[in-house]
Formats: sequence, structure tokens, C-alpha cells
Amino acid sequence: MGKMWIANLPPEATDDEIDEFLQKYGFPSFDSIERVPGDGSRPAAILDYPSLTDDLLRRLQPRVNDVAWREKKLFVSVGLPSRPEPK
Amino acid sequence: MGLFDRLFERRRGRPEADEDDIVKLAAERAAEIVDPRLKLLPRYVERLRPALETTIEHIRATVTGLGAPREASAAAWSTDPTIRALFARADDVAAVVSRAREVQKFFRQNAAASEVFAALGMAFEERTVLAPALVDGVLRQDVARTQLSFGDRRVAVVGATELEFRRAIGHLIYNQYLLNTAQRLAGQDRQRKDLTVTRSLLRAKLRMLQGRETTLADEMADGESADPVAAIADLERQLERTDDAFEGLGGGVDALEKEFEILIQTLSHPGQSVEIAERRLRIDHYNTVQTDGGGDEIEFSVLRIATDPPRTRAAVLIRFARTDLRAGGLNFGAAERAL
Repeated sequence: MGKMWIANLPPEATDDEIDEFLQKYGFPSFDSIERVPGDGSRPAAILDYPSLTDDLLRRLQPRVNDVAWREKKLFVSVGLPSRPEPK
Repeated sequence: MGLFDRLFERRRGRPEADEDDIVKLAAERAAEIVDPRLKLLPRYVERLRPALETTIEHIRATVTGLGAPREASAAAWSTDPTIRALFARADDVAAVVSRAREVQKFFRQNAAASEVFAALGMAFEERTVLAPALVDGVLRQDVARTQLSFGDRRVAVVGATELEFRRAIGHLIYNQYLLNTAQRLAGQDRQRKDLTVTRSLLRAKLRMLQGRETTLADEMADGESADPVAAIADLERQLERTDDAFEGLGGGVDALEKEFEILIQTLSHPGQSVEIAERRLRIDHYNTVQTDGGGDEIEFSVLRIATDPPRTRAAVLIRFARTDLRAGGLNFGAAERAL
């Protein structure tokens, strides 16, 4: 199952709008979305693509990484971002 | 105009013009998903045309051959053996379909729609179990029987009318062909990356051997050191094999032509990418297959998608009424953000 991390989303963007935005760049519809609001300054989301491999997501990812959407520059990576080790 | 808006009804008087529009839109979509740079290739649409015509005809035949949508509701669970086979309880029908994002979105965006057409896809397994059965008039406890199990139900595509819905299925199948192509190319990207690393390592090692340099690992290795001339010859052979493999994948300007060849190949043989077969079986209430003519007949489609590893899913076309939609699908996250 492929997972993609997308950060710095426009706060008002709905799940459907995110899906439509990504489909314009050749992504299929994601299966589920988990919102990660953080402190609110750079809202993010984890998207599930059960039928896509990480290799395929890596091929599609450069099309949307660093792309501006509603005055926000998106940060997109394949897989989950690494978390800091607990102290 | 959507890609397959005219898939099933060619307008009288100008069928060629309609086909031409579909081919152009399909070529555009192929570049969008597989690689936008493909459009830069000379005569991109013209060279892709024969493969696209094969694909479009295949999709038309596949979508037209799919069974009629069946009602998905608690009432249908009692009367339709296929719906009963797919859901453990009558209540599960509305619960599962209502949870689907596509269904919720459809009813949100189509306030006047009283029902939605949808394709329900499922993981599907045929297991051999030991069950009691009458054999030659004697009750035996351990007869091998086939049992069907369905799980991981997901709604893949929706439509307001049956025609619109079938077009959407056509679009979905076409997208899958393109994703299969992109998947193959992604595998090649990885191979190319691995080969680049291997080639750099082999070259560095060769340079060291030619300069009679050694590494700490060589110094600490057990036994006698290998003959350097033989080692150099072996490395050169490995490097040659790596270069050949790299050449085979194509690089630079050739890489785009190779990608295009793979796209043409996939679209010229659409049946190899996604195979859809209709299955008809007789089963009892425990989903055990009956071969003696007993039980009830069920029918569903089986999709085999040539990904790596290959995926098999079962699918049925359903009609689902707005009145059966559960309120459980509320998007609290969206509501919270709106506030």
C-alpha cells in the first residue's frame, strides 16, 4: 500500500478538492485521507493509495512537490515523514 | 467534454469525427498520467492512434458486457442471493455503501438525485474447507468443498444514470491501463537507479585494482588475496553486463522513446493489463459452492489486474437509494475546519 505525505495545504481545502487537484496531475483518486493539522501553520495530510506502489508514487511525486496551490507551496513526499526520537 | 462522453453513442453523420475526438482526448490523458513529456515526441497522437483504437474498442466491449446493476439495500439482501453472498448481515449493505467517500460526495453534489449507480469492488477468495455433505446417500463430515469469501469492500466509481455510470467505468478501466504502464516505468526507474549505483561501485573498484590500491576489507580478508589480473577481468565483465542492462532500459533521449514503446505495447494488448470475466456460481447460505444444482445462483465479475504482484478483485454493479444513506459518513474534520 502506497502512502503519500502532503504538507503546507491551504487550510480551507476540502478532501474532495485535494483529490481533484491531485487528479489533474495524473494521480488516481486516493482511498482515504488522514488530516494532520499540527499547530495550524502548515496543515498536512496522509493519503492512502492501496493499489499503488511506492515506486509509482515516487514517479508521480515530482509533479506536485514544490507546486503552488492557492498561494501555498506544497511539500510532498512518498511514505510517512520520519518522526524525531522520543527523549 | 469528458473522455468517454461519447463512448457508447456515436452521433449519426460524423462517426469518424467523434472517434477522432476520443482518440485525441485519450492520447492527452495518456500523457497526463504516464509522462507529460510524451507529447513532445514527433507525431505523438498519430503513432499512438492504432493502439488507442484497439483499447477503446476493447473498453466498449467490456463495459457493454457487464451485468445489469442490482439493488443494494437491506430488502434486496433478503431476496437477491448475490447481495446476500457479499454482505454478512442485511444492515451491512447500507453501512458499507454509505461509508464510501464517492457515494457521500455524489449525494452532496447532486441534491436532486434519489439514487446512485456504483461499482462495488471487493477482495475475493476461494477457500477449500471440510464440511458435512451427502455422498452416495451417506452423510460424511469431512468432504472438501469450496467456500467464497468477500472482504475489503470499496466503491470505486459512481454515476447518476446507468449510461453515465458505464462511461465512468470505461474511464476507470482506461486509467488502470495507464497506471499499469506508469507502474512498469516506475519499476524501470528503480532498476536504472540501482544500475547507476552498481556501475559507480564497479568503476571505483576497478580503478582501485588498476592502481594497485587496496581497502581495509581487502587487508582484513581471510586467505590468500585473489589474482589481481583475474579480478580486473572479472570486474570488467561485470561492468560490461551492467552497461548492457543500462542500455536495454534506455537513457537520455532514448528513454522517452522507450517509455512511448511501452505505452503503445500496453494499449495494443488491453486484455493483458486488465482482464474482466463474469462468474456464475451456485452457493448455499454459508457461501459454499454447490455443484449438484442446489443452492442459489449468484453472479459477479472477477477483475485480474496485471500489477506486480497481480491483483484479483470481485465486483458488482449496484444501485443505492438516497433513503438508505446512513448519517455515519459525516466529515467532522471538514466541519471543524470550516468553523
